[in-house]
Parts: sequence; structure tokens; C-alpha cells
Amino acid sequence: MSWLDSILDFGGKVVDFFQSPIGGTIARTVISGYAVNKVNKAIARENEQAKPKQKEAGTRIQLDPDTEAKIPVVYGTAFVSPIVSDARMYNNNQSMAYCLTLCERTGIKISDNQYSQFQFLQVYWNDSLCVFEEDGFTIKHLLDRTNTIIDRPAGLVRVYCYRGSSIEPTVPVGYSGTLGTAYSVIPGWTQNHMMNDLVFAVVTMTYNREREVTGLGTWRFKLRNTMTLPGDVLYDIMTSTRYGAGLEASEVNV
Amino acid sequence: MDLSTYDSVAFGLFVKIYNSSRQLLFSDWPQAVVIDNQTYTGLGRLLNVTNTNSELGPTDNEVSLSVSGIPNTALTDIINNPMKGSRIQILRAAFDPQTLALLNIAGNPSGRFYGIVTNYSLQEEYDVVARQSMNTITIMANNILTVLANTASGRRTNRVDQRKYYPTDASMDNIANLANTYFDFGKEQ
Repeated sequence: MSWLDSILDFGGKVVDFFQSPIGGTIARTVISGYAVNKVNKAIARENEQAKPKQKEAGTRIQLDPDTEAKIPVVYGTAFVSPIVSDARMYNNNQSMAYCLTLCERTGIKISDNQYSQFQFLQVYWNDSLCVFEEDGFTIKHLLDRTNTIIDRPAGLVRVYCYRGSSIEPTVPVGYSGTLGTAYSVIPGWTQNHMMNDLVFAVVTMTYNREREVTGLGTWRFKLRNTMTLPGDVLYDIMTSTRYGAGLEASEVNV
Repeated sequence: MDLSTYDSVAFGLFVKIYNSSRQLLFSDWPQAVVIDNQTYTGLGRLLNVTNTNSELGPTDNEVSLSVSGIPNTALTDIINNPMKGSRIQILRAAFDPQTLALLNIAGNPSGRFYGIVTNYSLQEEYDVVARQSMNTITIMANNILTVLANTASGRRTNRVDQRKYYPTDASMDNIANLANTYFDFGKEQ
């Protein structure tokens, strides 16, 4: 049993060491250091609990609306930068809803006697392409110019598209969701907020500093109007009373 | 309008001034003429229409019409009718000078001027001997090109423009307020 004798011998040496003057000093130093460290941690923890939590200051936003901005008219396919025509904050400052006016709704095509229709081809936020969830309005992620996926705003930003008035919702091409009216999306809006004959979008955002959703940013929409033929366009611009010359149909030889 | 088979023809100008509420039809032809089921009153020499230039390219031609011999009793009717802004159409028609009948040929009458009344003025001529006054009305009109240039202005993003086209639409009512509003987006309360 030589190994057992070795352990007993080592234990005896350790006891002898701590019973010596140098060993006793070292032992007291280590024990007191450990105790001080424990006390300091406990005090810090108590201080942390006693301190009031820092409130989120948010981002101060002041919009620069333009009351003289002429609403553009789009024929064919075009990128459109929107005009902010309304903004509301709700949900205890945590959510914003913006109404982004895009363009005029155009009239009837004389070539086939059908109303011109608008489609939302693509939506860009801060120069990145928006990819939506299956619902067609909740942002799933963004694709930047290098096709890198940016998923920070996922679920926090929603884009509701309307192709002629508040009661004519649509989703971008490639999606098949169902949307509500614009006045059911923007707080404070009623059935009198019709946005008659306007193509527009409503953007809602939920604040999140960590995920960089703190403001409207820049938006661009790629739109397609089914009115593309020169004759249709010329007739439309000559007869429209909102954005054209307002000539009567009888005054235009078709 | 092919007039090559006629030895002589006479021309008359037929003026139609109209707006949403009423229309005036008159001509410098000495008798009433029916064109497109509408009767134009013949004013003869009381109506004078200035010349216009026919140009290949579009130009903003102006034409003025003077109608003289208007009695004082008709003045009220003229003043009370909102003539300014009305549409004006001037047709030129060819007649047989012997029978004073409208020539039945393709393209007769033909359009000469289409535009809008931009202004009008009244001038009184007092006859001292007869102790009565007659009036001349001069109507200035610009062609459709000017109308195009003036009316293609577009809708702006403000309350006035939106309500002008859709009186009950409140969508643009809040724009002016946005300029003076701060949003502390995300600020915890």
C-alpha cells in the first residue's frame, strides 16, 4: 500500500506548510481576497438592481411635406419616388404609418375601351429590394445591390399597395395576399380618406433600434401602367381634367 | 372641300360659343342657317371676324370677333352670362351665291377655329341725333393650343387641390400640419 502511504505523507506536508508562518500568511491573504471579491460583486449587483432602467429615447422625425408637389402621371413602366402625404404615430410611439402618394390613376384606353390598370412590380427601401412574406405586404428581408440578404427589418415593416383609391388594394406582382382598405391600416383615417384616383402605398413600421428600423428612409416603387400606346396616352393627356388639358371627347378627332 | 366644279361660291362664318349651361349660335351670313341640326342666327355685316393664319405647325393663334348693333336691352343678357372661359368653334361654310343654299359637298362646312374665349369687351356708340346708343361686343379667343398650355397643370398634394376634385376626400387634409409636427418615433413613455 505504498500509494496510500504517499497520500498521507503529502497531506501531512500540506498541514505542516499552513501551520508554518509563511503558509499561514498566504492562506489568510487568499481567503480575504476571495471574500472581498464576493462582497464587491454583491454590492454591484444590488446597485444594478436599484438603478432605474434607461428609457429608449427613440428617433425624432420631422417630415418635409411639399404642398406644391405635382402628382406625376405614369404611362408604361417607371420608377417613382413617392411624396409623403400623411403620417401618423401610434401604439405608444412604437409604430408609424406613412401614406406615400405615387401617381395619378389614368383613364380609359381608346384602343380597347378598357380602364388602364396599375401594377406594383418592385418596391425598394434604402436602395434594397423588398422581398415580402406570402401575404404580399410584410417585409421578409431585403436584397441589396450585391444580392446579400438583409433580414433585420423582417416583420417590422409592412407595405400596403393601392392602385387607384383606398378601397382598391393590391399586392406586388408575384404575391397573392389579401389586403384591407387604406383607412383600416392608417390610424385616424375614415371612409372619407379615399385617395381618389391616386396610386399610393401605406408603409407601417415598428420601432427597433437594434434592427435599424428607426425612420422612413428612402423608397422607390417600380410601377407598370397598362396604358402604353402613344394614341391612348395622347388622348388621355388631352382629355383628363385632373392632369391634362380637359378637352371634351367631342373635340378630339379619334 | 372640292369647289373646282363651281363658277362662284360665297362663304359664311358660323360661330358657336358654348359652355355647360348654354350656347350662342350666330353667323355673318345674312339669313339663318341650319348646320348639324342647330340654327345659326344670321347677323350679316354686324359680325366681323378677324383673319387667322393657317400654319403647318401648331401655333397659339388668337382671333377676335366683333358683333355690333347690340341694343341696350340685350346688354344685361350678355353681362350676366359667363362668356369668359367658354368654348368657341368657328366653321366656314360654302354657299351657292345665287340660291344662298349650303353646298352639298363633302367637308362643307369645315372647321376654321377651335378655342376658348379668353376675354371680351363692350363698347358703346351713342347716336346724338337719334338719342339712342348701340353697343359692340368684341370677343377675344385663343385656340386649343393655348388651352393645352394653360390647363395641363396637374393635381398637387394639398387639401385645396384634392377637395377641388373630390369635395369629401380628406386624404390630403393633414399635409400642411406635418411640416410643424415632430414624431418621437420609438420614444418610451
